[in-house]
Amino acid sequence: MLLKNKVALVTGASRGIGAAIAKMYAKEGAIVIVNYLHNTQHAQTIVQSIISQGGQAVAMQCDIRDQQEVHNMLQNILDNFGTIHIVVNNALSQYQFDPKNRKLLGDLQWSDYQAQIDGSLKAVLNVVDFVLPKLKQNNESSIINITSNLIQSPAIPYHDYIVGKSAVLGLTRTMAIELGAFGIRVNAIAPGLTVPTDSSQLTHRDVREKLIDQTPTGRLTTPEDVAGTAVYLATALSSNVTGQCLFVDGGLTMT
Amino acid sequence: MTSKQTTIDIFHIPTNITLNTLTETIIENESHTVVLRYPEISVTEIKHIANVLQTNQHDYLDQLTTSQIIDVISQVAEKWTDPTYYLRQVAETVIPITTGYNADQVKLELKRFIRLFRKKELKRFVNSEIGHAGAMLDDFQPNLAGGFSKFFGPDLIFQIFSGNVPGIQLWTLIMGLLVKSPTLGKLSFSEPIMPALFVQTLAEIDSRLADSIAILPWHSGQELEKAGIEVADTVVVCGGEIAVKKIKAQVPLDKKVLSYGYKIGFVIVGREALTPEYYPQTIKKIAEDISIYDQQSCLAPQSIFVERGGAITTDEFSALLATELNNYQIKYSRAILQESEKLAIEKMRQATDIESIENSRTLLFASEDSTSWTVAFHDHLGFSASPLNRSVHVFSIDDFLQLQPILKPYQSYLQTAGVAIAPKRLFTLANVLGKLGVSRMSAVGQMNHVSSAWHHDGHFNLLDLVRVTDIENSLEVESEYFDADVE
Repeated sequence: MLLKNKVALVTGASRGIGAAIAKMYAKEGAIVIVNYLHNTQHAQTIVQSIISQGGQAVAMQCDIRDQQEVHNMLQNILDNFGTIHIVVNNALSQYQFDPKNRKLLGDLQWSDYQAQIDGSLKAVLNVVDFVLPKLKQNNESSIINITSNLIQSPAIPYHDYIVGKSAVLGLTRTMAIELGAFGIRVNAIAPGLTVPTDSSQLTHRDVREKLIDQTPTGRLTTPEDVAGTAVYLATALSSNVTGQCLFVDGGLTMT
Repeated sequence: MTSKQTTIDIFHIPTNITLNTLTETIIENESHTVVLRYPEISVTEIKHIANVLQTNQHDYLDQLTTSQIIDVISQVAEKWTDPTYYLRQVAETVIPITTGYNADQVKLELKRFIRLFRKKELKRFVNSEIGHAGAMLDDFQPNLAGGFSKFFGPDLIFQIFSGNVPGIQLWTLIMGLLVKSPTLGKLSFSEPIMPALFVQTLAEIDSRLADSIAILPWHSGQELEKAGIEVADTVVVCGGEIAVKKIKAQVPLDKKVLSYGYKIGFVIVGREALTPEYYPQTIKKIAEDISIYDQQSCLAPQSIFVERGGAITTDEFSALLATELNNYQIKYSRAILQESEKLAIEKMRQATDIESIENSRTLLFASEDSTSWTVAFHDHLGFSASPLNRSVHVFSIDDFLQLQPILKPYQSYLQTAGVAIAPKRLFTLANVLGKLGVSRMSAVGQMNHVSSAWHHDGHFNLLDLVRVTDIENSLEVESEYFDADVE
């Protein structure tokens, strides 16, 4: 097992990509904290499914945009597990990827951008600020920020969303520089359109097929695809890899 | 796979002496076999060698001027600065096998070290203590009291070398030559190669000069050391605390002993060296001080005092140092340890763990599944020796003036302090440390690299070896009367 007894926090883990990462981490021996915002039932289902397979997981509710709630959750984790080795910043503010009804540049308000920045950048900072002293004390820690392949090739210009996710990549790089000397690696994963997820429900077959046509592997991304890369970035398999953004989109984006 | 074999004579005796058959010791790794050859010697032979050395010195070394001696030694050093020189290549290949030190590190450190014995460095070394290019070692020179003085080196120096760091033995060996004294040396089996090869080069350049040196390895005991002490008028002993004490106890009061024993180095880091701009390099340099020769030299740090109030906290400093030590391990791996050495590190780790139960501010940073490196962080003032081999204690400190009572009990063990602070505070700190017995302050990153004019353990090097003979002014004046031609 690649992550035996490592304590991993996965934010937004009650569904989609987050849930897949939580499950795969648990399978690799990690003690997984399944963070979620609203859906207690979903989160518990994930935790139960992990436990039934012999893994270790616990669900913890909090709004990662709220600094105090985040701090309470992290303190709870530290009190119970002593430390944190891996942080996956996966949660995002609710966003519907609806290419047909997206807001045009002129329709967007600053509050739309703010909502996305809060859900991505601020959420990462809320978690990292509090947990950093602990991460520094570990010989090796890994922070993984989930962004999007749209930041590199914005096939559909979701302005507010892409701005938020781009900021996360910038922060990933600056964090990697400052924290490398502490043995903390900071990387990003940029998935392509990932199905099945709730956010992608409104991206209909026509758009999907267009994307598939341009994708070297000829298919869309699954949550498990992203989880595999998240395992890689959390383990010693990716030793000395930091400040990177791995595109998991079937080769649609090549940098 | 065929194993490569290198045979080295780990001794040197004057050309006019023949000894019995040679014994061999074999050290090997996966790809290389090193055969070390040396004679088993007796008390009688030691006495004979001592006589021959003194005759040889009288016939040749004594007749040379200091600058001629410097010339020869510097030619030896120059040969060793050539990467294609065959004996340097032998040393670079064999020393990592016999000592366990990382090969790349040995290569780098040897080439740095050998440069201390080039002409310019030797001239500075002699001038720093004797002055006037060593003229007082060559002849009577006018002194300030109106008379004349000359320095005389010992009739015979018995040197007991340590084996902790390759080449360290050359210091005292060369000191003996500079004061024109013959040396009978006992080599340590831990590292006999560098002195043996160096003297071999010396013999290549000037065999008569090398005839004033006999260096031989033997296992520590009673008889042979006793004989060595008996034939010499000066004893130079380097080594661990117990070994040095034992030898010192055997030397009669009428003989001179210079001893270089166990010392503890430490580091002081001011908050001005922990700014966002400087902290990465400050920490990198300290990791180097800890890693070079795995703290086996007396110069390396065992404790680090980190001032609170820098851009990084003192526990962050420890975490960063731990990462840097891990990086160093990947670059230049530490030597493989004996069980007892590993155990000492395990004990340090356990003690730190226990301390951290009582005091949650105490933290242990340690390499996983190995003893490669260890940082014990104590968020309070204290001082501790470490079990070496890349293990170190870090203590938080608010004010360097608090060091006085902490270091005082260790006064006799203090030697090198690596210091990273601004000039404004340097001299105040230097004064505090000087009073406490610290004899050397260097920049961090340079703790293992002494300058050519350093005062080993706070003593003079050449001046401590020589004695002075004065022709007083009265004699000079009076002797004029006996010049028949003077009116």
